[in-house]
Amino acid sequence: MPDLTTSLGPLRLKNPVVTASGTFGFGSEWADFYDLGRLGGLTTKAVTVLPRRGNAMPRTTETASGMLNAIGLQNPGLEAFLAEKLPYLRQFDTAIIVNIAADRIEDFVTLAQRLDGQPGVAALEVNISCPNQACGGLEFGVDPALTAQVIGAVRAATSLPMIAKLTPNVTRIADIARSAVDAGADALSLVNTYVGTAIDARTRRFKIANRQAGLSGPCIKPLALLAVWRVAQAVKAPILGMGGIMNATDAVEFMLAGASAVAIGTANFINPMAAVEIVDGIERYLSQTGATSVQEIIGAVQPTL
Amino acid sequence: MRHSLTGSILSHRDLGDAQFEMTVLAPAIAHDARPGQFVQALYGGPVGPTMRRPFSVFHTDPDAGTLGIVYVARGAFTIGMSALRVGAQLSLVGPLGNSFEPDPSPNVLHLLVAGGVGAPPLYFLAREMVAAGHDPAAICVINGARSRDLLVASREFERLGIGLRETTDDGSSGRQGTVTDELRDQIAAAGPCSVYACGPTPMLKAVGSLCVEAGVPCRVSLETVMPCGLGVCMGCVIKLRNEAEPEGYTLVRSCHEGPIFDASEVIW
Repeated sequence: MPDLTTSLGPLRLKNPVVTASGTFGFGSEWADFYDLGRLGGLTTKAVTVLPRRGNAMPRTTETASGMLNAIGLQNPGLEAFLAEKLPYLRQFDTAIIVNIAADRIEDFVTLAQRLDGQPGVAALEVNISCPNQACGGLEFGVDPALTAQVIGAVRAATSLPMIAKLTPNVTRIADIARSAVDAGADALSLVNTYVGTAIDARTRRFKIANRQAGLSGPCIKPLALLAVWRVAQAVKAPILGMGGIMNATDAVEFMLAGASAVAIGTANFINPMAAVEIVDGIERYLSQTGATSVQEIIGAVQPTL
Repeated sequence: MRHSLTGSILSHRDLGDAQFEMTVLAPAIAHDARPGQFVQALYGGPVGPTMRRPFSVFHTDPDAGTLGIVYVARGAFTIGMSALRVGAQLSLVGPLGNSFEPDPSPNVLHLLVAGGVGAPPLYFLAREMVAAGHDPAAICVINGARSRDLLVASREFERLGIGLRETTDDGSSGRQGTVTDELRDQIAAAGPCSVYACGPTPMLKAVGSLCVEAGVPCRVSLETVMPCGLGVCMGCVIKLRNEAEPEGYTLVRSCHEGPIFDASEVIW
């Protein structure tokens, strides 16, 4: 049986499949479908310092081969997460990655400090795609200097493995990646959603109350795959690759492009069994291709045709 | 318990006016489904839709392992679905959400208020109530639509031997008017009653307001967009009154805490 273990810097994973933030709640909704211990890891919905109600409805709409969402980080807040959500997650033999979001650096620091040393928390994923209050709403993750500031501040506040989740809505994602790694990120998650919108010609209204929304699903896979490959060429840090992965073949492609692990997002909505089917499918792929370890396929895409 | 499965389409009937009834082999879901619950459906093919759509369960036959839905072919998803043939595969996740449970108060008249394709879950409820030994005379359906051809499940309701009042906007069947007109009269004439409603949101709002004013318990099944149906995406939230919150409401998931809510708590 091929060895599925992998790592994102200091974070060890028993297999390379984790669920993506915002597509898996805090895990309890999946109890009927499979043992969460079958996952390499699970990324929680974004946690903010205070509870957030999120954006007005409607918040989502289907697009060709994908969906747009503008949920607005609705979540119960840090203390409710610790009291009500984390105890449930702790019982599973899987890496719990807590996604943290904030619009001020000091809130990122508060989150990192409070989560540091909490039993059951394996790593932090820092959502730097949030608008930065101090910079007129500019997203941290679109600017290398702002990225370095927030990642550096979180680095100083925690000894947990730290993954920076990058936005793809930038001109040169490799620059942002380098900046995050230089500031202390152990690994990089990419990509977050691509911004877009949808308009209803009949009603002449936006289909999403927030107007701007994040595009996900199979339609973004080619874009995300290129982003992963580009960043893998530019930095040494391990990559958690994501963006429209629907099945094991997609997952393998991301690993060939350079991802050390993959995250399953929108596919969870479409097929609740997707993540564990992908674990099995990667194992099958490795066996069928004579690989003894998942490590053999990471970055193994041939540089030329 | 929730299941994810793929089943064959066993029957697919064109009811006219773009309405279709479909029966699918889905034993685990048919076994566990309760009235008011829904399934998230998806059909395949390289050019098929990407996201699932929710459909209320119309009826189940746990022995045969079958489950029925009724839908209107009106958007790309349902128009594509209407072209599926008997024998084609349908992927289903369910049963999802909470259910309609009969008001346990004694001597209560159960008023089931259905608008258009809101009728299926109420038929499921009525059938389960009759099967559980409720007096058919204590159950009355008010089934409404724009016109006669758009009334859903009237024949099925009739076969249960329960009360049936139809309303149509154009008077082509039953009373000319809305379900709310009929409900107002029923509530006025009846003793204690309890209302269960499913239909378009404006209808539910009208039914809910009428019941709240009349002091009648009313459960409404809300229809919203449901990207996941599993309680994780937060794309289907609605506002429920909650005076304990500074804003006066709590956001809840239609797919998880709902789709059935107490009308007095819903902020429309």
